[in-house]
Amino acid sequence: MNEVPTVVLPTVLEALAISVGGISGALHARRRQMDVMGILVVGFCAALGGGVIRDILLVSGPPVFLTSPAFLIYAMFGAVLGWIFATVASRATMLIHVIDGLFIGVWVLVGASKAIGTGLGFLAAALVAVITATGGGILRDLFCGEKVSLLLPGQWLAAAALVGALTFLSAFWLGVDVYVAQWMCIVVASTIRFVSSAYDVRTPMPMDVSKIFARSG
Amino acid sequence: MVTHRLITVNRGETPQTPSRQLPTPGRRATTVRGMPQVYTGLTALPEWTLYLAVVVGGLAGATYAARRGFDVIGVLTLSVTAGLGGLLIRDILLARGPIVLRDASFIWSALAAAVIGFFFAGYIARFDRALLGLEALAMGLLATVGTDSALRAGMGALPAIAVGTIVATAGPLFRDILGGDAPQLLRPGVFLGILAVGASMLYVGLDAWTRQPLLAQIAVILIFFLTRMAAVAWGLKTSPAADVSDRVWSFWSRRGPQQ
Repeated sequence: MNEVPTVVLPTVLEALAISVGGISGALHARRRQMDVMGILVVGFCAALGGGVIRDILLVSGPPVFLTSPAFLIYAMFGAVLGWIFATVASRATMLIHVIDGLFIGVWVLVGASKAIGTGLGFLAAALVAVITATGGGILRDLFCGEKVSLLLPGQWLAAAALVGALTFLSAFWLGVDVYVAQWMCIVVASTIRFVSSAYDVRTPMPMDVSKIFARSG
Repeated sequence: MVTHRLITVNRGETPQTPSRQLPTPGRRATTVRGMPQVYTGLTALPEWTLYLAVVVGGLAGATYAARRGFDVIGVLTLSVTAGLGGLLIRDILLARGPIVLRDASFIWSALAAAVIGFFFAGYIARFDRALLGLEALAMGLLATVGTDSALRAGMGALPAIAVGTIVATAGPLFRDILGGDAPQLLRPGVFLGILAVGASMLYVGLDAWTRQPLLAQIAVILIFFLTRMAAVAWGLKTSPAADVSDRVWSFWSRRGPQQ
């Protein structure tokens, strides 16, 4: 078993990833005719919501955005950008999607590493990692009073995060070097995400075995 | 620390979560390799009862997701939240590391429910009355587990009742919220949430009176099951919130100072 990794991103990338989350949340709120407070709150949820849920689950002290306020500043900066420059930002939706897709694997890594560091096992770490990557989107949809888009059939998003998390954790548990495992996770998650959106690959739906038997019999 | 990499890894010490509450000696506790002991809230019942409760809650979540037309992620999410939500909330309320994350059997149980719901939702729908009964048993167990662990964490009667109610009802509540419904728990309908409150109160009372947690637990689970089944069979329903302000107002205006 490897030593426990703690993921520390370079500041620029961290700021970029969180601000982009804030921008996408703000655009989402704006499309629903929310006011300033709505834009800030939904932007915050989209950017940092997953991390907050993760820190509550791990009972590892206050959520990260309280202990390192820079995160909060990045998120609010992104939300304000999405609020003021909505027209510019909504033209750059493609860019936002690409950056979001690139960072899925990174959020998975952050969650997985923190979970392993707290002493959790394989499955629990995978669960926490996926929640870190996707919790923000769930909170965003709940706050907007909509169907949670993550649970509905569509392209691979949470599923990409899940596969990425399983890749990283199995590589890590098999004793692969942590750097290699991390890059595998990022590449796998982003590739699945991009291939799914480029070719419109849908997530599998529940297979009702009883119907299959009823048809054949 | 290497700086030219995208992600730098700090190979440092592993942070340990302190265990705030140690289990009472002689009471069942789960030990996970290298982790502090966490009291499950099962007084002397075997642990598989709690795993079974998770499976039943998860099945309810998974079949709900399949019925609503959710995808594989939806089935997984709802079976995990509906199955594990109550126990998760309990440990968050008691400010300790969630046992459902420490003991992998809980997640395996929820995953088993997800797999069954993914493939066999059609068969489960034929046994909805049986699932209702199993759900009642699971909710009774969860109510007593929540109340008991709050009591053993040193809480008073009223907080323990609150924790027991939340633990018993959080699964269905989360399921409805994530599924985009107004929670069934909060709307007028067949007695459910009110029975969970009653079960938690009864457990506090029986535990204090008999000093036999196991006896109290089994009795409360049975009573909860029987009352829930009776409510379903006879259609005992809660009514929407009543408003007595008009009646109070007319009472006062009749005998008010202006007359």
